[in-house]
Amino acid sequence: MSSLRVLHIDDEPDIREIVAASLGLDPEFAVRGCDSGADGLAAAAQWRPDLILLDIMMPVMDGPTTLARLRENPQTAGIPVVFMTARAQPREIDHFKSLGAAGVISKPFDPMTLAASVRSQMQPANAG
Amino acid sequence: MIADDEARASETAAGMPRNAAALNTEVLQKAILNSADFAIIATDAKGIIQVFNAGAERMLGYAASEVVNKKTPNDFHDPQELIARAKMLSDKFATTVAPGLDSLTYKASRGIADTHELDYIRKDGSRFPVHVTITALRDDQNEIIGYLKIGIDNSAQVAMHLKDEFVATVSHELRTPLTSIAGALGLLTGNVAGKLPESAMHLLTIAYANSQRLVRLLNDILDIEKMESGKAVFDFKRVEVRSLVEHTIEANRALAQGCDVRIRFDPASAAFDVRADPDRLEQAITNLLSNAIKFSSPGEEVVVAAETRGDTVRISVGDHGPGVPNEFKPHIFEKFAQADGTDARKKGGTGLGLSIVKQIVDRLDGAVGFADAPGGGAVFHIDLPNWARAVRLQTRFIRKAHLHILLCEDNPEAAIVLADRLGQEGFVTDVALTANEAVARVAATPYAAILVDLQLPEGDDIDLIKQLRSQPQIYNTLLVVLSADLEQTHDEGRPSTLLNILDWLDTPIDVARLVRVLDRPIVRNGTTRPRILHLDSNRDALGVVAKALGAKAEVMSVDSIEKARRALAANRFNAAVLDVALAAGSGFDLLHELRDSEGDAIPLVVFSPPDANPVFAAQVRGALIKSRTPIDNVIAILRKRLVGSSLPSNDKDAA
Repeated sequence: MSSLRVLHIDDEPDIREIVAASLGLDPEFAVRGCDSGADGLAAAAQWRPDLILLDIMMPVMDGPTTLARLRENPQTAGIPVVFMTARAQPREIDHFKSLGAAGVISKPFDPMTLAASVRSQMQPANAG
Repeated sequence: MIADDEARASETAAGMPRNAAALNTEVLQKAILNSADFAIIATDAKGIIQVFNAGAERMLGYAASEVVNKKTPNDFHDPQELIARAKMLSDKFATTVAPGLDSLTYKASRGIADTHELDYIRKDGSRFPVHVTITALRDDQNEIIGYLKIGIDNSAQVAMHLKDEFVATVSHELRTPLTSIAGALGLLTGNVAGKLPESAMHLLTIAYANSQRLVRLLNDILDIEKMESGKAVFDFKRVEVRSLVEHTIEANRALAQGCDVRIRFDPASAAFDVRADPDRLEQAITNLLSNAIKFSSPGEEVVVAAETRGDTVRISVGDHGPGVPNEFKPHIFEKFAQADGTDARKKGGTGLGLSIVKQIVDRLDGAVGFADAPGGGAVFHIDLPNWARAVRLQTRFIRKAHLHILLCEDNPEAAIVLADRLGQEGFVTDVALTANEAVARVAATPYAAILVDLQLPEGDDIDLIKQLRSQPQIYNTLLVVLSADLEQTHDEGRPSTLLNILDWLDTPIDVARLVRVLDRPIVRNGTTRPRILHLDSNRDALGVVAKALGAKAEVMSVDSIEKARRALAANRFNAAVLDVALAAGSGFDLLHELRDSEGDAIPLVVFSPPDANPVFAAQVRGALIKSRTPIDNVIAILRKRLVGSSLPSNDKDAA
């Protein structure tokens, strides 16, 4: 029985498929993909995921803007967001966290351990 | 005779030594005119070329005889660029400027300084970017008799900028497909799609290992680019070497085991501290370790040691591999230098590892080197000044310079803590508990820096900054704004920022004052043109400032926080001009990003509405409180701006 909902927002269809397959290794995860910030906002409000994986560099609405919009809507404001990005220098991670991200996973990621990384990002939210 | 000469000399250049006067007139003018680095073109009032110097000949490919009395500067421009420029000028001055010569001389003929960037087209049709200044030449009656146009080839600067952007873009563009490839191969080799025959698995393992190698290569290229362009941020801290080395060894244990190589940490190694960025130092040690592992044969041992030699800490990594061939020794730290390409590449090396080590260690004020190991193999080492020496040298320098600091802080307890700490660092500190006291002290004592706590009693804080900055005697004084929440320790979870305020002005912008402010040595910081970020929601203001500063600085004008973020991600700036009262958000939202390559606050000119606006003041305080200030950061910025980031070399050997 899937009990942890993860919404993955990324404009690259191939990466969405790999993320879905990687998280699918953990039977507890249910994954849904969106190809733009706008679709992601709608899906987040309607589906109420436990966590959102958010690409940084997307056309039209980028990751930080999408995060800001998620925070503006009371329905989605509390959902933890983890950025997925190529740029993951320590200072940049600090910066993303200062924007309100729960964590950062760098690309390319290891598909065999992605589910565990995502789970570890969920721990603080579950505990608190 | 001699008297006559002297009289003539003093006529030509009063107050100058005779030789200089002679130089001034003929030799100097000739030298300037013959300079191959400037294209100097003078025209008559109609725009017909009269002077075409050697630099112009070299850059444009025409002989002077081909153009003098024959051509106008229009002939070296792209007509489309002139049309665009005429349109820009027509809009700006609400008039009609013709796209020909008029577009080039319109401003100069009206006495307006005109510096701009355009392309020049060579005789062979090729083009290059040029930075041009145009001046009107006038006779005694102030009539225009011609124009002087001085051009500097801008290709190198433009090319460098394009290269940096290209590397960053390519790295991102390659990373996207690579993420899918590495992900898919990782899933297949993990048997996620079912058990595969052994032969297929073998091939997939090769593909997966090589996708990982491409990732490393991309990361290394990006690191090198950031380091070379100065965009890499170094966060200097007190670092305990022994635990950092142990941690690094643990992180590389799997790689060593994969190659059947043991890593031994020399038990003689004790605990010492250095001043470094721990992440970067770990990266440097990792690169040395992975090199040593790759060049070891199965069953061999890599020995890591950390020891002090006087006040220097040496971290060394030794292997029993083939050693560094003699002919390769001079090139070992160069990019893509691999003595035996096939051997190292077979083991997944990128050819950039040692070059990155050198770049990092240079930035840490250290040295990197290597030697042949007794009995074969190589020992690489990193030497860094120990913590005590790094601090002692800076403290001694500060004491010698008698640097006085004024601390404006209404909380006496906080003031004592900070003044005490500043005293330990060698600074002489005065404390002002009220705004009035601060202004009085500034009038009496020349301070090297002023620290302002932005939580002085109600309404005093921003006014105090404005008031202080309008005092002529502290025109060049470093003014740092900090929040009251001074912390003794680093809180890793929270970003920290200080404001380095060059000036705090009322809107609308006083352009003349802004130009003066940004011309201070603290902004120029070297010989190259400073790069300045200007964020303002008012496009007219952006245009005016860009023009006013254009001759002395490279101004990047942005009208929204998003655009500012993008500019900050791609460029390094020497200073920023911020309108904090934007339509959407506040310029202070950018606080955490307004940093230099070492992570410290860059000099800032702030514009805010003239009336005391409580909402705005609250915003400013909010931004500062969110970012608490470790005392170490205050010390670091004072040292850096007052002492300079590198230590004075003559103190190097003093005990």
